[in-house]
Amino acid sequence: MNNISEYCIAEHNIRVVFTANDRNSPELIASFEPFRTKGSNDDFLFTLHVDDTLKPITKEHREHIDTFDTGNGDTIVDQLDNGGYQYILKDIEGRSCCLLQTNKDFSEGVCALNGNEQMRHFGLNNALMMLYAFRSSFFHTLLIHASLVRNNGYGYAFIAKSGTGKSTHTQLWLKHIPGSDMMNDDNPIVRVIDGHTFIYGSPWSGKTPCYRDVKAPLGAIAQITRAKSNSIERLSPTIAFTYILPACSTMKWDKTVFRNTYDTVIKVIETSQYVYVLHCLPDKEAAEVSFNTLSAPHQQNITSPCKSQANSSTTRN
Amino acid sequence: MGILPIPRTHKAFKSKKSKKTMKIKKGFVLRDICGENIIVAEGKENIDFTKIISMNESAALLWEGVKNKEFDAETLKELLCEEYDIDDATAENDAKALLDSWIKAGIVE
Repeated sequence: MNNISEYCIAEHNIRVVFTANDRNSPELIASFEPFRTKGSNDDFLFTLHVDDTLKPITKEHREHIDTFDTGNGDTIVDQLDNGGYQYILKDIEGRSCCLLQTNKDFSEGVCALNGNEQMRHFGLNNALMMLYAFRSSFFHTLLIHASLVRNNGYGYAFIAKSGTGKSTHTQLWLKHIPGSDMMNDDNPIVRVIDGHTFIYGSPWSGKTPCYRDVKAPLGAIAQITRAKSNSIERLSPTIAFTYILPACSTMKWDKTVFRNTYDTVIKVIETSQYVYVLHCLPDKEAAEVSFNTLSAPHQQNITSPCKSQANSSTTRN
Repeated sequence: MGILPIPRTHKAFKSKKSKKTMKIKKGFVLRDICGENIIVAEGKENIDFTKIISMNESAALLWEGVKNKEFDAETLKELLCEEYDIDDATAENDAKALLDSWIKAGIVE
């Protein structure tokens, strides 16, 4: 019997249908369990069918786009003559883990998995991530490469190329800034809803198992660069754009998806406004400098409840 | 003596003919972001173009003016003169400099 699993990720419902098979099951994507829902409704962002009998599209019905090095292995991309796409996802050792075919607007996908459990996990997890990023782009949603920490109800996202020190910096917040907790360490989700920007945890969190179904208004986005001393500056909209866009999962060669993505980036900058570059060392002062500046615009929300507390204590006296 | 000066328009017409005209490259789109103007590269043919070009107000205006058509420095100059109260020489210099910067940036061909 088929297994139908439903998940709600950043308030978008998705559905994964596993065709009866003793090798494929929701256990391959354990990181999705915190996001599991049941019978939510019929309104799904997309449905992915996992069916190992899927065959590659014949050459005459597809056009090769390119082979991309994702950092975790190559992905071979072809566009189909019906406007959809075919992806072959390889792992770091060059083994084909997943064959994925989608329709034009990414609302439907079918994938076949290959190899051992680890390869199947890799293939399915990444197929879902791509499908989610491309499909949700139509709904002012971004999958952003960032480490995300929460403080006083606001989410603070740190972006940079891998290895710069995003996670190191959020760890410094957890250690030195009281009331901080990690929302996601690699791929949180940003949404613009009714002119407000929110940021969410996701089932994709890199090497840190931090798969949390959490949501917060976006406090700030900060690009991290290494430096000999700690300083922070706010960025102009254009510069902010050049930092945020490369951090987002998109398909540059697909005009529609790419336009969706940069339109949303522009919306994020227009609605949230708080984009910074943080020049920093991996030390306590770096966390203090970034916290003080990034949280400053949101202090209003801290002081008002404190004020009412002060008032009530005055009344008591 | 006795030779009439060549009318400016005639001169312009001649130079236009001899020079190659330009066109904005396919996939380059002007976008407004909080009042600032940027050029974004779209599509498969621009997959390796990773720059974002920022433009001031007058450059953005000229970009819009020559969208979807063949143009040269003279076209840009005429647009500048129509829109701004500047003398011919300044407009010509600005138009040439702008076109050069567009060519250098690889956004026209």
